[in-house]
Amino acid sequence: MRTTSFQTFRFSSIYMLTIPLAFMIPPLISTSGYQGWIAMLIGGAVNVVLISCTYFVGKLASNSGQSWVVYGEQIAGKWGHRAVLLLLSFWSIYYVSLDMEQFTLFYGSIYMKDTPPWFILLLVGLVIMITARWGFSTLIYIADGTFILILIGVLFLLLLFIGDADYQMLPALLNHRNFTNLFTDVLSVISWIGEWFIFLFLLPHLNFDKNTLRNLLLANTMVTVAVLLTWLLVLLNFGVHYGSQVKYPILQLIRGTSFTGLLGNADPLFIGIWAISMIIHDAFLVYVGVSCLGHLFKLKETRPLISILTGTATVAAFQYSQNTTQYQKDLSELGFIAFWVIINSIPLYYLLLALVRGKFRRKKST
Amino acid sequence: MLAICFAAIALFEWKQLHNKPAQGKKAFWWLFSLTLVWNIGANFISWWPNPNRFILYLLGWI
Repeated sequence: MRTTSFQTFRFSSIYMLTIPLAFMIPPLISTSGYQGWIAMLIGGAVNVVLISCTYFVGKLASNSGQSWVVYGEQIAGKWGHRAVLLLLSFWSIYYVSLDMEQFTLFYGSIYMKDTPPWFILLLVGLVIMITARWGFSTLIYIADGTFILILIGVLFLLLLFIGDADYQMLPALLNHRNFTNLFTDVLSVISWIGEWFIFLFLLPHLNFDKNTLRNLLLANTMVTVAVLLTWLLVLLNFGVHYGSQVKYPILQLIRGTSFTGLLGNADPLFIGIWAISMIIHDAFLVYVGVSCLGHLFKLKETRPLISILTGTATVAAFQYSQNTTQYQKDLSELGFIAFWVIINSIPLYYLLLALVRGKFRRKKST
Repeated sequence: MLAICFAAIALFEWKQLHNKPAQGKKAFWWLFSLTLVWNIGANFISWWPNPNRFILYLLGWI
């Protein structure tokens, strides 16, 4: 495929920004109040470590010319790596099901109140399946085009909310000190924006070199700054108490803005642009699940697998929709957050194993 | 219904394939059957566990 210098940056920004921007802010305000910025910055710093681990592990695979699903056996051993691939297959489909249910709850409660959730899930599932069938290269090219739209959308949103913000709350960011929940909040931030290992699946289509490290670090910076600014503006517009209660603060801000005309009614436009990035996000996750299962079961033809995995994610999302109270409660459990942190730390385990096995030692020339 | 719909699409995709390697056939049918049984259970039985339940069984003690 045709590659360009900042392609990884565009793709990783789209991938990482879409879900936290929409769903991370109310839980963060709820648990950390005025100090969410500290958890965000520490989480962003931890991401630098995870990205570096991903880069070093990816470079080893890139030098061998193999994809990570193949090369990983040389680091973690045959059965260790296969266990990780099986876990990642489960994780990728699980993540898609969570996204689908989040989107269905959001879209169903705001725009399609009388539509049964299974119908929205079916449509979203079919769209994700068709997008994943187009293949990896097409996903990258779609992300290339969507990036500029998302960037303009985010900048526009930030400008829209600056006007109505109450800046008298700003000193509270420094004066309110309660570090009781700081550790769990950092873990929560890492669970939302820490899955940088997933870019190992860009191999062998895109090589891992210093530009890849630069691109991933830039994407991390952009995601951290964008989510931080959005968090800040939600806080300054809604306050701590209402900000933690409102389910979709950005949508409420768009609808409640003092602008009228096109700007005041632009919520469907923003949601449409955001939904494109969500579909790219989930289609890539299906691609990851298919890559893992295809390697495990030696299945070269992946199209039937795409249907199977998307169907499984859709059915799991349907299960959540049958008891949304339990679903919402589960998302805030510490065990749930711990699972995500364990998965997101995968590049760290592989790097440690690679160091122990001497994969980074330079071979002596004879 | 969702389970059956996507299973039907998967079957259709499989039938469309021209080259079906022997090992791939066995693997596909195993995977297809397991996921179909699981998804039908998940679709129609109210107490069928969802992925959140598995994760919290393993890590809910934290």
